[in-house]
Amino acid sequence: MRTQLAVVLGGLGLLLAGTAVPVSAHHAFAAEFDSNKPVNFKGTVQKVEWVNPHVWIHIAVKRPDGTVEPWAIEGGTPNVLFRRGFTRQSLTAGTEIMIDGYRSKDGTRRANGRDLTFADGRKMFLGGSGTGAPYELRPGGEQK
Amino acid sequence: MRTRLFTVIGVALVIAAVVVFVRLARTDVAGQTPQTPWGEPDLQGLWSYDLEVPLQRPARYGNREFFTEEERAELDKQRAEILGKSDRRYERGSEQDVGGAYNAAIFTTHKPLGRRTSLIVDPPDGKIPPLTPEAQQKRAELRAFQLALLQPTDVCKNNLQGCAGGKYGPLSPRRAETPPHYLTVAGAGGPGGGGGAINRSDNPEDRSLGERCMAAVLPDFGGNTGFFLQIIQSPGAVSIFYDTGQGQGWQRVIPVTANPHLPSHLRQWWGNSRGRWEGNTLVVDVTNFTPKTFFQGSYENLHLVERWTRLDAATIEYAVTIEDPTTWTSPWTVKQEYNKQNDFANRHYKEPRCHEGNYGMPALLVGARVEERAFAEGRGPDPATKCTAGCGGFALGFGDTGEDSNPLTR
Repeated sequence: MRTQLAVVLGGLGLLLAGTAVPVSAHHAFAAEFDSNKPVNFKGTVQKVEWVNPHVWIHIAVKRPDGTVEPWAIEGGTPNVLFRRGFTRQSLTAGTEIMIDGYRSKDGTRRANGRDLTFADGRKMFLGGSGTGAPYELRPGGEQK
Repeated sequence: MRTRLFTVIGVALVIAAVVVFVRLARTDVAGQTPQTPWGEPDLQGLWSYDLEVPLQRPARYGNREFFTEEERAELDKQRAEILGKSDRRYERGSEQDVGGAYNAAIFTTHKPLGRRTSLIVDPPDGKIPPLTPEAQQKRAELRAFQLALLQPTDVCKNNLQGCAGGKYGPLSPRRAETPPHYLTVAGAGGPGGGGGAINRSDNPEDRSLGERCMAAVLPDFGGNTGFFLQIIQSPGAVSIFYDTGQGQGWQRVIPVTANPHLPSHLRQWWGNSRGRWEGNTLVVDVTNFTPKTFFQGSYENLHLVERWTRLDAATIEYAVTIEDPTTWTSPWTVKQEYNKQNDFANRHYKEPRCHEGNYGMPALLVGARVEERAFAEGRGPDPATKCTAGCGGFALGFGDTGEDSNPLTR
């Protein structure tokens, strides 16, 4: 696993070498979220805060004792999601989603959704095109 | 009452006539560049860059400027298959897995491959020219500082790529130092690397420009989130809005004037632009960048000569010659084509305002303080041994050097 990881990072180094702009997320998620605090639970979407630089998915999580905790899950950036066809209507209040990620280091009930899936197991966000790639634009010509 | 009604109708007719005139004036007559009502080439509208081309040419293509159609189709097929696969994760509980943020395949843009083998058209090998000794020195100083702060982390302990050039060791006394140069971008590899981003969160300026919502650069070639431009002209000025990065868009005003640049002591984040028309081409000279501006290793001495040419109703060719004798041994040139977008269908504009929603910055600063307190109270590890920048873990949707790696850089 470790060898594989090193190889992956080596590949990333090559990518960095040939890229026009900093190839980083808006921020280093490892700075904001704690690798020692994994979270894995189901929640019900309350609202999606559609803001730059990242959208926030606010969910209600039911605890085993019946109480409900509010959590906020950090997601992708609006412009890229838009280009993928992800809109305000794509994730409506009441939808059940599964969160597999890491909790914020500051101790608040916030997490990154390292993997987000619908409760029935379908992957979120994986758009598609004729080639199967999650392209946000069709090749060539004026976009409608 | 009737007089007012006639006045209103009269004004409406005049407005309608003007609109018709303007539309006629902008009509693209076959073979002619669209013109503004005041007689300048018309670059206005929403434009996007909807093909993917690497900035630098992969070595195996040598001096060849274009892919064959078969190569493009095959590479697109391979990329689509890889990106369409289920998510891959780093080891659970690792900083690299956290760094993956969320599904990288959707986080970055993945567009069909363009015809060109590199955005760089000059020099002929499609590569950024070598750094000058002065630039190499600056980069080495920054890299040494980055490595000093990374050395007690797992990145160096496990000898990951992020620690390239360094080695695992104890906490460095350099952790208390002021960085040797202004910190800008993340990443240590490649000609543009070494801009900073250190494994420390004492204040916002320890963190990258992106984390500070200041990542937008000029020139901008689209990057990993894609972008669009909105160009608006008036007599004497061309305005461009760049939707770029993660809500890090910005407005640029290019005066079309024979006036000289600002005095050299006046420095601006995106430089000082001066435009002029050469035939159908808008030529823009950009100087006066700041010592904190960072583009591929260049700071305040960056000099750009941009050429914006509307090739036809649907296309603008953008060519920029980039020079900085203190950074590169020779100038280099990039070329892109922008495609016209439907102005009406894309009228819903999202204002950037990265700063307003930048909860990540306060959260990571607070998070660092929480970890420091926990360490002081014997409840957690020394935060200096944890990686918060340059840890790796973001692979743009592509995997290792095997069959899941990016076929362009494999």
